[in-house]
Amino acid sequence: MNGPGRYAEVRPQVLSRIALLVVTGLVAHVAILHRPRFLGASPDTMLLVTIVAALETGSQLGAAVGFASGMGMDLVSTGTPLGLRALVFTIVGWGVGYVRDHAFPGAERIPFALVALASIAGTALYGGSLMLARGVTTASLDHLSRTVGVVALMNAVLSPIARPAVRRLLGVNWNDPVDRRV
Amino acid sequence: MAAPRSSRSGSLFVLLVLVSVTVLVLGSTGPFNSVRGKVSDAFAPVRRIGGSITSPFSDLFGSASRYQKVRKENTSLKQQLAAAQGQAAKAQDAIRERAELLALNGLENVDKLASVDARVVSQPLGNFDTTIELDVGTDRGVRAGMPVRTGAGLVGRVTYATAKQSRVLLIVDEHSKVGVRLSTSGEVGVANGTGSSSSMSVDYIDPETKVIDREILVTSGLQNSRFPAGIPVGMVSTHTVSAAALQQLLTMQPLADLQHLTFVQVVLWQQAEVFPPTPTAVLRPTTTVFGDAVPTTTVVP
Repeated sequence: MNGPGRYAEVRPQVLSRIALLVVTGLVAHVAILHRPRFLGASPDTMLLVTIVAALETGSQLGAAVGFASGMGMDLVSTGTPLGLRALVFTIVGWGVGYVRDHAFPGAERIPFALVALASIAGTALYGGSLMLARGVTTASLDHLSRTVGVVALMNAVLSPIARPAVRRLLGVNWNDPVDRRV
Repeated sequence: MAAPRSSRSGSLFVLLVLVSVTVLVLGSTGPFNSVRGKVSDAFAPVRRIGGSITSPFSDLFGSASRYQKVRKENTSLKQQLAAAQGQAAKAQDAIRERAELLALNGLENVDKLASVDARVVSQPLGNFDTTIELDVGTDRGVRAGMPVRTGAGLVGRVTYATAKQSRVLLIVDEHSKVGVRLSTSGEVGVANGTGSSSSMSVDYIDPETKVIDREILVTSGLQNSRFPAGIPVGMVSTHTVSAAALQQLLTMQPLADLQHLTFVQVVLWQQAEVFPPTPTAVLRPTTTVFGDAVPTTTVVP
């Protein structure tokens, strides 16, 4: 089917909810969440938002939220290639949603490990791409490996707080089986 | 008939990937940069407000994770301080003599250059970003290209300034190159950013040059350098020479703590115009020396 109804699940009201989610995530990250640093790295809020949204809604909205989150983060930060986070987060959002759709269909509880694994994949993909573009050195490899570990740990720890927030902002109602797909 | 859900999902995914790749390819062009600048500026108040709210707790996580390291450092620093106090007394006379010699020869003294104090309102937003934002801008005389330092050492240079704020590219950025001089031997080289906040590589140090452990490197200030001479940059952390190597493998640790910056100084200094055009010479900026474009001179008969 082609035309306006092609992506029926990404309806206008869903788009506005995605925009609200991304702007809220960006404000939280820019104001506070990028500041706590552990071993030189901080949590990747927008990657966490992407992963949690994908876990809550599946691959289609996971990809859409990933794209919006990545593009938002690309636009507010400087010195990194515009569009790279959007690309990586789209892939991560779609991938996590795909796993959720096929491995945990309709499941309300998703293991922490999946958040950590997805964070590892997203950070390694983004940092690895940057490193390949800029040149691989021992120091940059060390920085990447530390960052991957810290982001995975912090995102997994923050996920119980992020999930209800993302659920609320996206309007997911787990009591309504039809609404589980937004 | 409606397409299956997985098919629609796959199509949206492909569409978004294509859009991302397009933006990635065209992202460095004017319109995209302009949008990026405006969005970044729109979030500046959020950064400032967040900074003022969190500043009392800014180093809570870092301090907790570095507690043991800080304790060891404290003991070591007390010993170093005692030694340094003795050396400082001896150095006073040398500092005065140096200042007099620089003044006599009309050379700039980095310690006498005007500077503006600034507060860091935003650390790098992402784990792979290497820019910070300051709360001073062109209103206070800050311009793109000016060096930024702390009391400890060089931090980076201003890349963009509006009336009230400015953005600084840290020296550890992969694209950053700093002309440096070894403080003992005087050998010059180029320090390159690696993306890691704790390590930079140094090129062009002759294999015959004697390098001392923890030797300090300062900006060289050679012709067309982006930084004035004499700003401390880093401390040698490793140095090795392999057989038949053309240069030493040298790494250094930046002296400024780039992960925990709160206040910095913008040095009100701009790269000088060297080799002003003369009627008998044509300048062509073609040669690159130490990361900076240096004009080559072609004499016109």
